[in-house]
Amino acid sequence: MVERWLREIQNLPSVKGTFITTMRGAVLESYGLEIEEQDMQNMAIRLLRIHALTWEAENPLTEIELYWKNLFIVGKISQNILLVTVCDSPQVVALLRITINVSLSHIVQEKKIYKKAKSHVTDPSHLLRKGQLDENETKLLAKR
Amino acid sequence: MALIGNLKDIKLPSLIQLNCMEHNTAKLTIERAGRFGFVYFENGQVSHAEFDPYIGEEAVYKLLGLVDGRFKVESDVRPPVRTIHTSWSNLLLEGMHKLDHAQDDGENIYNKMFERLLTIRGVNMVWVLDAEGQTIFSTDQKEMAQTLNVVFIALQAERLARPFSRQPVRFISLLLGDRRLIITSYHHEYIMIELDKKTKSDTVIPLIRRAIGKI
Repeated sequence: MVERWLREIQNLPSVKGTFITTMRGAVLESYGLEIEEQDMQNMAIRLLRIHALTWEAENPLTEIELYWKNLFIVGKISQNILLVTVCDSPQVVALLRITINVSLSHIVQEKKIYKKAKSHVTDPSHLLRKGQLDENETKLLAKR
Repeated sequence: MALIGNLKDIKLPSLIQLNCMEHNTAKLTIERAGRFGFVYFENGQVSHAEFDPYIGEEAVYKLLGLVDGRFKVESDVRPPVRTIHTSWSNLLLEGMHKLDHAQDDGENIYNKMFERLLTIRGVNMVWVLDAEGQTIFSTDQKEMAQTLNVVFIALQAERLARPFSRQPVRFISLLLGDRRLIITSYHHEYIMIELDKKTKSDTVIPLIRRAIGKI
């Protein structure tokens, strides 16, 4: 069932593929992307670090969009699930956003996914602790 | 009753013109990013102005460069001293002339950019941050720019795309509750823009790019 919703997203123009992870970055399911699971996990962890920065704020991050010349990445967080979508370019963005929202709302209702995501719930700030970051990143965080 | 507003909506030349043509005696207070400026009108003439560290005509010229800032006009407040003897019309003409020929120093460049960005529908606030993420200029004084580690966010964004691209990320859009923030690099600095939640990043980014590129 989860694959069906990821396929819905992947079927849109310019979408390369999509995947979902827990809040620790563990990949639960992916569709369409021809990269290693480890690469997906690395992408997720970096998105989750950005989320962790805002975690203690009044309004934590729920959505991030990243624009490159020939690349567009959307990360959406809902109920302890991160959905990442990778596109060649930001085409039909309105439709993409709707499809992501609808798909994610169905995905979080999947029992198997829900259970796994719940078991991985953690303090987001652990992704910003020493040992998780390289020297440059640690230095940048120390300036906060 | 005091007239209160923002220079985004009524420009300072219009405020000066209005008070002088109405032969008002009043005090105009302008606040921008914690810095205060004062212009006093006496019987329809600009008689005194202060904008730390400037006093007199120079203060008016500096205030004319502001594109936003809260203002308040209080009637029947007399100036503590008279430092301006030029007629209001000549003062405005000279001020506008100076603005047109102002050297493009850093502040002027950012003021022009702020003006262009703030005319984009949905743009609420703009910050310019240095390479270390500290606010250099902003359209409003807010702590968020300091607490949100923009440089760290940009670094994570750049690194996460490595399986696909090694180019620098052009725009980062963050949705934080009701606030949408756009972050982009600009030379060795960063520009952060706060949008209305309803404003979609993909529709506003081409306009932002144009506004920034026009400098």
